[in-house]
Amino acid sequence: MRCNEPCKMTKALLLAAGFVLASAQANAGVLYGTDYDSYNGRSGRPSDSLLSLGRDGNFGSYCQSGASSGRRTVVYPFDIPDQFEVFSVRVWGIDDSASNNLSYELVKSCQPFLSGGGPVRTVLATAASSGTPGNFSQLLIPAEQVATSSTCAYFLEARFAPDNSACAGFDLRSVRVRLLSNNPDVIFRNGFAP
Amino acid sequence: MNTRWMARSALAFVCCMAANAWADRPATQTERQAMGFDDPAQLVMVRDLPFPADSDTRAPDGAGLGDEWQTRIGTAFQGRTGAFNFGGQAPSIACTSGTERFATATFDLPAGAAIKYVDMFAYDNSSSEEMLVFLLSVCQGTGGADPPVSTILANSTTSGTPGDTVVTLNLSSAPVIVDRYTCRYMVRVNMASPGGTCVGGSIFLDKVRMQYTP
Repeated sequence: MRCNEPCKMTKALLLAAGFVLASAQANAGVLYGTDYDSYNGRSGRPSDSLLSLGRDGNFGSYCQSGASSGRRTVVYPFDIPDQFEVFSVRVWGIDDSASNNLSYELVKSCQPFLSGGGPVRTVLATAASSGTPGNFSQLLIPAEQVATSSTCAYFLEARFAPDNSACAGFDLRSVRVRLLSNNPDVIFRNGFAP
Repeated sequence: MNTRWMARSALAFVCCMAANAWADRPATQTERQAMGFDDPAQLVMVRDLPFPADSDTRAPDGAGLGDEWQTRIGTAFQGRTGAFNFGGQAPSIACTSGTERFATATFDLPAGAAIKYVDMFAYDNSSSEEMLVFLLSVCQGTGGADPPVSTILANSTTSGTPGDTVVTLNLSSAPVIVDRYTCRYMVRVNMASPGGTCVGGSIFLDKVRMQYTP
């Protein structure tokens, strides 16, 4: 069957649509404004200088502290632009410890915009390894959460052991953290700002 | 005297003022010590703000100015040296013991951004010590082996025993324009001034927030 002019236009439009879809798959997330940020396990910050952190050969971190005073947590601060939606945080680790598990809290910490006030912590989601699964991955999904970066800070806290308690050493490692957020206005963003 | 001449004169005056605005001076010994630059060979400058602070309207939604924020929680601050003893529940840290009292966090702002305000959120219940906050740039030649030059762009301090408090560095009259090519931008705190010995839970750093126009 010969293709007339409207038919050719339809074909051209379908072809263009195909390119767009292929492009969207090749750059997953870009079309819909999704941002991914990955952090090495060892990029976490100890919340206490008494915490002795080790580093494995895969950019992971582990707690070397024995039963002594101090917290047993590392913190991964997130840079989330204002009005972005926090979709999820995926964590990867290794748990070969029969005594300890690696637990996570996704935390929002808010203070008044321009006046004194202590930080108010809200735990948005939690996850933990259990048993001795070896390599593990967990997903933390908060309830609908639009970032207000003018007043709040967001971070993930990973705990190797209860405070003042012995850690499991190399058997319990935090390897990787990935934050997934969404720009709600991917086309116009900030009024055509770059 | 025609209009064009007047316009040129006005422009020349403004340019002259702008040039003066960015005239840095070497830091005094007192300023260097307050900020933790002990090495006398280190180049440290101070930029004195030439204009009074603007009275911009500030609001959490940016007050329609298109402003954005970047925050570093206290836990994200790293000690100047490994001797910095700290603790606390995230996002806050206290300097728990010893005399190493300086901690720094780097900000990662887009090129050309205009830094207008830096707000430090803290808790100060110490009758003997205050917490100082500094905005500084560290710039270096683009290809040569020149030494880095640190410049104190603004600084302030807690005062008395306010408990929970906010200290603001107001740069809105002459915002710092981010030059990612040659400079890095960071905030440093001195958690025990003037005595120099950490006071534990009497002083906490909660977070530092920058407000900037992209």
